[in-house]
Amino acid sequence: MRQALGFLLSAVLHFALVASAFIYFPQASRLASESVIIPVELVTLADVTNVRAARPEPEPAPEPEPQPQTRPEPVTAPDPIPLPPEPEPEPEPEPEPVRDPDPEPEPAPAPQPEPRPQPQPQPRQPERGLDLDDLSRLVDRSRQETRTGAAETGETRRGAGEGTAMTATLQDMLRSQIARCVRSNADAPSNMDLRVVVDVQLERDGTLSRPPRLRDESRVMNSSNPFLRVAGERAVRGVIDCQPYRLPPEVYAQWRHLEVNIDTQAGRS
Amino acid sequence: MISFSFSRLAAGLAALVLLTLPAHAQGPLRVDVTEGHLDPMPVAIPDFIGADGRAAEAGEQIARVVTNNLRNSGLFAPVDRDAHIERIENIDLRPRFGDWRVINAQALLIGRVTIDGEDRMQIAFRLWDTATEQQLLGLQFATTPDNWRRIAHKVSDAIYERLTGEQGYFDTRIVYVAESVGQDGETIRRLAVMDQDGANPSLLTDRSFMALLPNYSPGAQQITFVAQREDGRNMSYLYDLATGRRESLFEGGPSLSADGQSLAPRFHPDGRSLVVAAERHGSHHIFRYDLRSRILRQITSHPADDVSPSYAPSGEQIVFSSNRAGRSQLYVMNADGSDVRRITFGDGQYFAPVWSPRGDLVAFVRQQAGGRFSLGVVRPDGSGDERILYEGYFVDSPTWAPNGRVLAFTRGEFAREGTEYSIWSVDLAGFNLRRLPTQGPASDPAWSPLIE
Repeated sequence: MRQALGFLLSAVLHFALVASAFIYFPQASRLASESVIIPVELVTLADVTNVRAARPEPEPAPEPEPQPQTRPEPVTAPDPIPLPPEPEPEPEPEPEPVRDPDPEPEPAPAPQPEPRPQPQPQPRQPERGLDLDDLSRLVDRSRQETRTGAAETGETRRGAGEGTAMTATLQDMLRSQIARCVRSNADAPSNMDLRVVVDVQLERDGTLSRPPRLRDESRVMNSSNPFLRVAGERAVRGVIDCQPYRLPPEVYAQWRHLEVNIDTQAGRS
Repeated sequence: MISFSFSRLAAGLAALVLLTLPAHAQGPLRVDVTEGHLDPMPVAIPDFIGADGRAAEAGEQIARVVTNNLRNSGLFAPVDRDAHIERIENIDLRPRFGDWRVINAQALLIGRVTIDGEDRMQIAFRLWDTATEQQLLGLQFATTPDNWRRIAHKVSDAIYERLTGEQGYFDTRIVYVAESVGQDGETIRRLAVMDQDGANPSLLTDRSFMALLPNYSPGAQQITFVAQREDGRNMSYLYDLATGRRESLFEGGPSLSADGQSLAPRFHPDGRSLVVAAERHGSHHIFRYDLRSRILRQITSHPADDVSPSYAPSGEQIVFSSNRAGRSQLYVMNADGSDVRRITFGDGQYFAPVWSPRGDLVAFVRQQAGGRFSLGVVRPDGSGDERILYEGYFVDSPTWAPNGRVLAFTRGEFAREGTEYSIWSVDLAGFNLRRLPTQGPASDPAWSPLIE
């Protein structure tokens, strides 16, 4: 009797277990099917980043040979910043013997730098003030503004229309994009002013329309403070790496010319 | 007629003015960026090219050492060489920058090794910025072929300095205490020295005594250390690295404590004198020892124990630890002993202060009430918060890399047979914690200045 009871109990429990599996498993399989979606999303994201990295690179390997001779450089970042031509042979200030009587590593002048002639005349962007197209574009824009009554008219010569909702948004977008591309100077000694300003001109697609230019370039790049020099280089490199900028094309006129103040030491206390 | 055209002109002018006004107003959009990232900078370092097999082999080795150095600094991320697209065949031609940008290399280092008939090796290199397509640096070294490793370190230093603004620290050595077990199971501690990257290790002292707490002279030619002799006395020694000559200091001077920890002399930045803590009349005081005149002059005379003195790089101030407030804390004073200021106020005990070669920070070891140890830095005037870079079971003997950006220290881990010591390094941000490649247990690192 007791045995039969035990058997019955056992049977009931087994049945309950199996039944619970039926209740449980459908859920599990639902979860699994959901997780399939995730990789799809990841792929999309990866796609975007890839495109971004590769985009400024118009042509692949095969076009190298013609380069050395032809002057006009490809679209990307042609020989941009007239860094002080520090061509080379930098005598290394290091007169020292390598502790053994053997010949010391001595600063011999390095070979001539660029087999390629430095481009003397920088291709000028059309000057702004005299550009008729520019003027007419402005007219168009101001018409639009009056029609929509945009708050943008608030921008006076204090610059960049601070305070309007759109410029504030643009500034935030740019700030967060550039902050991800520029190497911080937080590792430099804290008692130095390492602020640099970069002039940036953008195309409507968010790429640079000309190489970014350091304001005060000679002060920065010829500074006796190597940290300032590096700060200038990091700023320019970061601004180049950051393209294409993702900004609303409707208001291109507002972000076509940027003045980027970079002071990554200010962020720390 | 005239008035008509005049008014037209006026209207035209007015229109022009109206148009130019907004043009002025439409200045550049101003963006203030106050933050950046701290990711390591991707650099590509293909093997240096060589005309023949021997030069090519050296070029490969040099590129490896440079890659290793830069990666270990934590500031650079060498791009996997399998990803390289362009094969560099001539360093005097402009590289195809697009090939390097597409693999995300921001800087490109290319070099060439040549060995001439008289067995002289020339190593030339160029550093390019792939974004601006500018050459950042171009240098050439000449040496003997067996010296290639040092040149690789010098190349690394040049790259590091050009890209960070900071002096490099790769052409340096580290002297330390190597621990081994003798035949009877006793612990043997001998001085050893190696390149900063662990290459070329060699032993400096024999088994006849225990060596502890070495320190470098500013010229990197000499070291001081403490020897625990058979009779139990701790003696300070001066050791000449070039000749191997060893000389005992302060023999017959003040009576010396049995506790070796307080007796590690450190050099004045001019290399002509030492500062040392020694015991006199029952407590430890700080002394200055002139290496020429051999005169020991007492600087502090507080009845408490003043130990572990270390000079500021200017030589005008000294940081030390003292228990004059009860627990051991850090103090700064002028080099003549005047104007003593306390700079740490936290719980627990502070000891082993070392002034940074850059002058802006003092490194220390702190033992919290619970017994945990930490490695930290604080400003020499005590202002601001102290920063903890590492915390663990045991920490001792911090030492600065010559650029003041990286610290090496003794780290102890609990083990059944007693604490196990090894040497680790960490950067000022508390990142890039790495074990230095010593053979077997090691402690008491002392980082050399840049080798001249």
